[in-house]
Order: sequence, then C-alpha cells, then structure tokens
Amino acid sequence: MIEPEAPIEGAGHVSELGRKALETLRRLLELSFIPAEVELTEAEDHILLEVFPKEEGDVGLLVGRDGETLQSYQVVVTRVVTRGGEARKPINIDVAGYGDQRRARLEQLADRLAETARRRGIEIRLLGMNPADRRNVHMALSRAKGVSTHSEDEGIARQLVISGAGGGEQRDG
Amino acid sequence: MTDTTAPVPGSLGVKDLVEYMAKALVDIPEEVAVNEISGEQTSVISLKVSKSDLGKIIGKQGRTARAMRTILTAASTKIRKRSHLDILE
Repeated sequence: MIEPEAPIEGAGHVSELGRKALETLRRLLELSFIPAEVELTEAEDHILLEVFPKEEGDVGLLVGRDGETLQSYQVVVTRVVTRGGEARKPINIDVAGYGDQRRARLEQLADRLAETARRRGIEIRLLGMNPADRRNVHMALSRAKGVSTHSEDEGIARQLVISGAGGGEQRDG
Repeated sequence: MTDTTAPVPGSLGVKDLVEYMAKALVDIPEEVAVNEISGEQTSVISLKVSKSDLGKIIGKQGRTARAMRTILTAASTKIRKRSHLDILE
C-alpha cells in the first residue's frame, strides 16, 4: 500500500471550507504569538480543528475562562470562512485534551444536578449553554434513572431542562 | 496620551492581528484602517472599516467584536501587554 503524503484523519477529502478554516486559524495563532500545530478532521457534518500548543502554558491561555477564548477563535474563524456564503458546516475548535476534560466535568455536574432533581422531584433549568455542552449533558443523562432531559426555547433563551419526573420512585445507584 | 512612545521596530504588537481579522471579515479590505497608540503598558488599537462593513465587524449582538476583543486579550497577555480595541463608527 502506498502511504498517502498528507493523511487527513477520517476524511476522504478536504473541502475548500476546511482548507480555508485551517489556514485562517494557523494565521490567527501565529499573530497571537501562540506557536502551535493545528490538525484538521473533516466529517460529513462538521469540521474539527484541533490545536496542539508547543508551549504547555499556552493551553490555559487558549482555552480561556470557561472556554471563552477558544469559543472566540471559533467565532472569528467561522465568520471569516463563511463570509462568501459557502455551504455552512459547523466548525469546532478544540485544544488538545480540553474537550475531553470539559466533558468529564460536565458529566459530573450533570450527575449531581440529576440527583437533586430526582430526590426533590423538581425541574432544573440550565441557561446560557453552548450546543455542544447541552448535547453532552443530554447524552450523559440519557440512561440515568428517574430523570429525563430536554431542551426548550430558541436562540439565546434556549435552556436544558433536567426533570425529576420520577421523583417518587426511589432507586439505588 | 502625552507619553506616547513609537513602537520599536520589530517589537511585538497586536496591530497585525487586528488588521488580519478585520481584513478577513469585511467585503472591502482596502478600506480597513488600523492604528495603534502604544502607551507604557497599554496599547489602544483603533479600527476603522467601510460603513457597509461595520455589521460584519460587530456581528449579531456584538458577537464578532466581542470575540475579536477576547482574542486580542489572549495575544496581549502572551506578550505581557494590555490592549484595548476601539471600533470607530
């Protein structure tokens, strides 16, 4: 088998959109004095840009408080590449390992909230979450007993609801 | 600012970052003008774009402008400076 010259993980080809997003993020990081490698993974329904900072201290800087800085790079890259009105595909940016850590923390939080909702038979509403975080909470609680989750409203008011619907039934575990 | 110092040639600054973001976001990059006033600790970057492009720089509910400012803060932190972005209307 012939080794491909520039293997792109999990993708048959790289679209113009993906190539432009990669180029934009690389340039932004360079101009932000953050030396890093960026890897592109293009799937049918989204584009993932994963950043590997060369200086360890830059991980926290890139992520920012509550992921705010990372989110900002995502907003700017998305605006830049979709400016010409090309087909839209969500562009996600992650910093080596941060996404996994955040998911793990979210799952812990979700478990705690689910426990409260179940014990007291109440609804807990979470506002101001990004779509990825909401999806992860739904997934984390999809098999939890005595609670159900759904999302309500649109746009900035969108909220995730954890309902302790089965508040009466006490189950172990 | 009276104690303005001209940036040392070749010294690190965030002006290029702002200029790159602005030019990549607008329809008329030729009308992007970026100015930097460097104080001792703080840099003030002013950005002017074509009137028709102002919406692209600001974004829905100011989202794009806020993102640019956050990125600017990260870059400034890296070079141990503070900077402020002024978007001129």
